[in-house]
Amino acid sequence: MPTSEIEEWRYSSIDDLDLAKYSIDFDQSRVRESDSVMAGSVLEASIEPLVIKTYNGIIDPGFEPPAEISLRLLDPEDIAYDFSGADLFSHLNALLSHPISLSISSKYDSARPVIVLRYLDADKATAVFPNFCIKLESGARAQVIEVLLSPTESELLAVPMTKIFQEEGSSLSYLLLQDLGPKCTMVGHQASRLMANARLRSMSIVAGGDYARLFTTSTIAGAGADSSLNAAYFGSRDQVLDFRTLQEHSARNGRSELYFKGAAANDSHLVYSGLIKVDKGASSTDAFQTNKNLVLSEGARADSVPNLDIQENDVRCSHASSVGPIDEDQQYYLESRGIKPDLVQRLIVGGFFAEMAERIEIPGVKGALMVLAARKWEDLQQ
Amino acid sequence: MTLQHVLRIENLQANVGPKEILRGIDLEIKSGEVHAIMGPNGSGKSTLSHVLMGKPGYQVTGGSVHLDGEDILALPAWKRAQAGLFLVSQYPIEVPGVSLEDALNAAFETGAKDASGLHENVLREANELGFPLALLGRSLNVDFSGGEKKRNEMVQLAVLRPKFAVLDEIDSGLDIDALRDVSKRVERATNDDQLGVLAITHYSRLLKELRPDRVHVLVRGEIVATGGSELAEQLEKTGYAEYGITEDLKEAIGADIFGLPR
Repeated sequence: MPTSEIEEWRYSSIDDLDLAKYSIDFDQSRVRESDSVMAGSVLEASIEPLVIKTYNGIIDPGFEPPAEISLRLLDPEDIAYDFSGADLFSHLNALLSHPISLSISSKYDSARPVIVLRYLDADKATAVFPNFCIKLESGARAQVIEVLLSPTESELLAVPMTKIFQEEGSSLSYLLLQDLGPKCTMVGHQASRLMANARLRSMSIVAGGDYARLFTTSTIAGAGADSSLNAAYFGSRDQVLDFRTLQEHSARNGRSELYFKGAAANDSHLVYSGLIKVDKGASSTDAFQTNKNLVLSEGARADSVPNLDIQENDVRCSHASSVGPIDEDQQYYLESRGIKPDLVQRLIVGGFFAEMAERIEIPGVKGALMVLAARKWEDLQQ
Repeated sequence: MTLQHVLRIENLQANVGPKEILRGIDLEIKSGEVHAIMGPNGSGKSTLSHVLMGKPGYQVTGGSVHLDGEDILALPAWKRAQAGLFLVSQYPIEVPGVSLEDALNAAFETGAKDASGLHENVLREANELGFPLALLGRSLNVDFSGGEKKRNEMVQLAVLRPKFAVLDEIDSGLDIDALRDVSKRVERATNDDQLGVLAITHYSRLLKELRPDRVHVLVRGEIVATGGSELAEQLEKTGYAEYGITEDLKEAIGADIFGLPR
């Protein structure tokens, strides 16, 4: 069991996690479909989506995939790549999950988003292990939205794993919406491996959970691949939202761009720790990493630790991070127009996230981020 | 029939840090009047505008400011604005992700005012003020030119319709066309809405457009002379020398023309 003494878990809430408390239950018949305004807005905005429902990680047995998508319930060898950042939780997931593998061919209508609704629920403290592998075949294009949901009162340890494997020239827009209940602890991984000239645009919106951790790894494994990793999150109450990232370049001419933005209200705590790793031989690499944090109250805090590990000379790399309160000049300027302070704060935080909404490529779902911000404001009023 | 409003400044004294900047200012502005405050660099002109609006970091050490009898120094900036005071900033602040209409809607919401005609109102004022409509949905002041920033400030003033406006060096960074558009809109507000104006400037160029009722000369934190528009003309010729200031006004004017911050 890891502890916060080791670097990968520094600032985390791992020491508070008591694994023995959770049982494992593969009976999905009792799982309720929880409501989520955020997920609802995405479903409503999507045009004829292909919706796949899973209950505690197990797929709806009635689901029939269209011909251009092959769906397997066992982890196929071609997706089972190793990824850096594996830990106890990803190993537990590998042992205990019922993986769902989607293989999307170039014949799939890329305008039709695939929405995977993952309902998690249990009537006693339970650990669940969703495992989702997406493979884009050579030249395939797709939009995939993954939604993690649980009811308010469910006490869960969610250990989700999402593995993306992109063959040559494929293109994926991926959106994660995490809207888990407040009694949920999440220790999740998302990993992507991009072959030559593959293109990934990923956005993770994290709203729920008590302690929610997401480890994002993206590997440039083929020349000319291009990975854009984005996240937007908003902590309220005493939430700890913990993000670890690894951009790994093992092929030349690759590009990776990471932009993670968080706001912390009440007594919440944001953690960001990320690494750009460029292997020897990965020449002409462009790799960028930016983390920005808005701290909205005295009790809130954010830690941000960006890092570089460059083994190659011919690279362009940068990292930037900021942690700070709302800009005083912006605050005064808007207040001097007659706007009361809580509305000013709401405007500025909305503006902070508006930039991220623009980075969501999937049409119609940009609004999900603003729904998150609006819901958090309601949370703060209570 | 518009009500007559009064902004009364009495013996106003203020510090920035340990330094005494305003040393007893007395001014009374009524609805529809245009007052100009002229002064050399460091005389306290900008401090006066920030103290009136309530910017953090300025300590009032004495005196009072009343708007229609209400002590506005006791109010935070947003309540002063809701009471009817508006500051046209010398350097409007960039607010990423917040559009002009977002801000105006929030101001209307704060004042529980009906915002139903707001959009049409903004379009009309932007048109009249020559503010590019394409910028309306964009982030406030982000990548705006100097002229666009000031026109944007004026759209806000025109839509919010305050009782009194403080124009802090509104002529800095403006070309002559922009200056004329902005001045015209201010003049119309003084006629149509009986807006009271306190125009703070270094340079009499603005006053040729605005035609103030009263001109006050601010030197070292005190008003040392008050008169009609002839006072501004005289200052342009002689500078502030007779008030013991040896600054070369022509040089200051040069800085103003090119919109350089001083």
